[in-house]
Amino acid sequence: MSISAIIVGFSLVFLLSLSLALLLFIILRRIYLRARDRTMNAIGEKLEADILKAMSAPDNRKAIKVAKRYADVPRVLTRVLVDYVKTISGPERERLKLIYGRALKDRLLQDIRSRFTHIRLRAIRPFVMFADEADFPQIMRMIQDKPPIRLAVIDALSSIPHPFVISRLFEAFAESSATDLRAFMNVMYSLGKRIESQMRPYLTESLPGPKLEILIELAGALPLPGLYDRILLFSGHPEKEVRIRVARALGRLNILTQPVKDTLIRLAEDEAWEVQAQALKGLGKLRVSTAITTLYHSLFSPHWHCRRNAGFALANMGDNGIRQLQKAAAQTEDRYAGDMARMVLDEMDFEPAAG
Amino acid sequence: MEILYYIFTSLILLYFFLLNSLYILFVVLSMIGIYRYRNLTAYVNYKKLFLLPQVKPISIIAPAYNEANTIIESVESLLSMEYPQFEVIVVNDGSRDATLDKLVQRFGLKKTNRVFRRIAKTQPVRGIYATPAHPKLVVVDKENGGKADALNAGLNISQYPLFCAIDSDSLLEKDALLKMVRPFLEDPDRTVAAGGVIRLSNGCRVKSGQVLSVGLPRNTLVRFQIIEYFRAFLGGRLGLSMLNSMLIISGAFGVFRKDIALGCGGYRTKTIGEDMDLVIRMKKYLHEKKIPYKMPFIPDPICWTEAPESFKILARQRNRWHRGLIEVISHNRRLMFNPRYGVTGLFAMPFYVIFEMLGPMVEFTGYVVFAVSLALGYINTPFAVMFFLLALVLGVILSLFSILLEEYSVRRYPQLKNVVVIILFAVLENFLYRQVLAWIRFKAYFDYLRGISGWGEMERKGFDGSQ
Repeated sequence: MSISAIIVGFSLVFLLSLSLALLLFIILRRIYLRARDRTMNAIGEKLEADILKAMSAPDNRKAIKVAKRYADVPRVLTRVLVDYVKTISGPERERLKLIYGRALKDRLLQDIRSRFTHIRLRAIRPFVMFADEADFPQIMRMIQDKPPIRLAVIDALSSIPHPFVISRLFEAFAESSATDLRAFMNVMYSLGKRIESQMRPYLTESLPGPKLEILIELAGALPLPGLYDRILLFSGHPEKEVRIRVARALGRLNILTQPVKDTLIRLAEDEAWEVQAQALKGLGKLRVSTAITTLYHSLFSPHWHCRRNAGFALANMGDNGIRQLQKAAAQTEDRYAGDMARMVLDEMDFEPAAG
Repeated sequence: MEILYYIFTSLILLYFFLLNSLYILFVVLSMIGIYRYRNLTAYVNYKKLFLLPQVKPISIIAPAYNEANTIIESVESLLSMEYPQFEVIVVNDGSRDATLDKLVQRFGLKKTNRVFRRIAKTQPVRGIYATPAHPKLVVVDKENGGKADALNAGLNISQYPLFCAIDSDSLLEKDALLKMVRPFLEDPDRTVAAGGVIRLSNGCRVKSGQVLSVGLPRNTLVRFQIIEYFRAFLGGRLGLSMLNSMLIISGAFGVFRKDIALGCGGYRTKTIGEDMDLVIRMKKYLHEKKIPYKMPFIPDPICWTEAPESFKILARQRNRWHRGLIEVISHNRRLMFNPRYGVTGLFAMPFYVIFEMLGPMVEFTGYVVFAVSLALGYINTPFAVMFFLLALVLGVILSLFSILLEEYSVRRYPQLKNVVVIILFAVLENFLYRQVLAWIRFKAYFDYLRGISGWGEMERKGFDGSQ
């Protein structure tokens, strides 16, 4: 037998053994996973029963016992604690915190400093949910970590919005670099309407444009109607992006005061078409009847988005708006305005012919 | 003559060695990718995160040509997707069957005067249908212009910044969009496209556009295709995407940023490999504009599609795929070995040309040379037999690895016996099936040179038929 044949022969034997090993591994892994799931579920059920007993006990002794007994099955313990902490508050939550502190905290503190992303990720949910004010600097570091870590922190914070996080988040936001802003926006959004009072003092001219954009956008998205007077202050901001956010936020806040109406009408005639488009949309949402002439003129805008938003805004205005759309549909001077008006009328089930 | 023969066989052996080394590398990278992905997604509740204002709405574009048998199930599946804001645009590309009538009847659609921007040129649009009862659904009826033309028409109508191109004979899992859009949420500036996994619905129980239970089909051909899909998506594309070298995001399921897709001209209509062509042109555009980008492959958003059950249709499909590959690579040949296009020019394009495009030719030539050499006594019989077996076992190992990847990622086949059957077919696939497919793809070169450019008909049983 030649050397090449011997080499090929050995390779063949090696690969055959490898494929056999792979085959066995796939099948045995399946069997093992099934058995492990069964065991873990059984432990989980027992643990839940023990935790419920510990929470209804008169003192902390049972909770300490649970922490000791289940410290060597951290994954099951974490899963159960995380499930419970989301729904339980008051002294019972303190019991859960006690179990967490005794059985998991030291391990998790190590894990969140790990250089492996998946280990950090695994630790985030319980760490953030059971965090104290002293843990805030660590939470801030995680908000500036890789995208999946940030998302995990946001996810955890939105489940348990600690009061200390809300109060200190804005300080950190004001000091942060431009690169982290999106992460802050997501965290703030996840905290919901409770951020309104904290946000108010930060809506000032001294805040740089990109940060203002985020706060104004948030005020509109959540929405935070109590901040409308602050938002109005920025309608003449020199940065277009800020004015876009102002127009959008005012449309979403559903505040029908005269200054809001006047501001939106003014923004509908802004020099930037993006601002105009947002303002037109807002005028439609708020049904500002005094804006009908502005909306009609905007149907003839050279920008598609402006024409479209003006058309649908007119459709929101009731009979008067529909008449304006029919007028635009009947004219022949501007084909694009006519087409847009006809499309909107059609979608609203109205005849394009002026009646 | 002997020297020539020696050089030739050495080249084939080198090719064999390089090809299998790369495939093993991709499998290893896929393992790492799946391990990482599992860890990254296990500890975050993404459904909650999708309420964030940063999540962009999506236009789902589904071109349909003679899809009367499957269109209703598909559209129902699309309309029931879990996603905060989306629209479904079905583009009826001049179907000759009852595709449009069925849609109009089932959803109570009415012709509208909808206005749209004609950014990409398309065949004339005959009508746009919508109904207030299904505000997310828009049906565009247009003259036949091919799949790429229909996708461009959908792009013109679409109103959202992301679009998902999907075959109208496919079913998306309810949370597929949520999973697919995760990279756009994590890294919104750099992520420009994402690809997901395609699975075969044959043998599965489907109701109201949703796969209720996953099972194996009885049809042998489809069982072989299941393993091929595992290998292609979990072993190949995931590995390639880890090297930022994925050049194909399947036309059956992919999410793209609309501004980038339109920036490079939308879909090219004169090709049958429009999905690959768009990805290559997007990469070219991004390199030329020096825009950093990411095109990840996500291993668990699943799109179910029906595989051909007859050999005739399978042969037609594979022939078309290979012709598409040759055409797209020839059209974009400027990128080959061009350092200006980074890893795309220096690795991805050469890989697709040498191993994907020329693969069937080399494989087929290898079989012929092997048989001739054996007959003429140029190589000794034990070596020949063992080498042939070695090649087969390597094929089996790659298939087994892809099954392992499936087990690691989504483990969609619930019963152990299903896995055992798939393993058996992973072995059997290497005898005859693989060789026949190599011949079909080899034939595609000649069809391409003869200028055959059609899609060919694809018979659909309908998802009820796959129960």
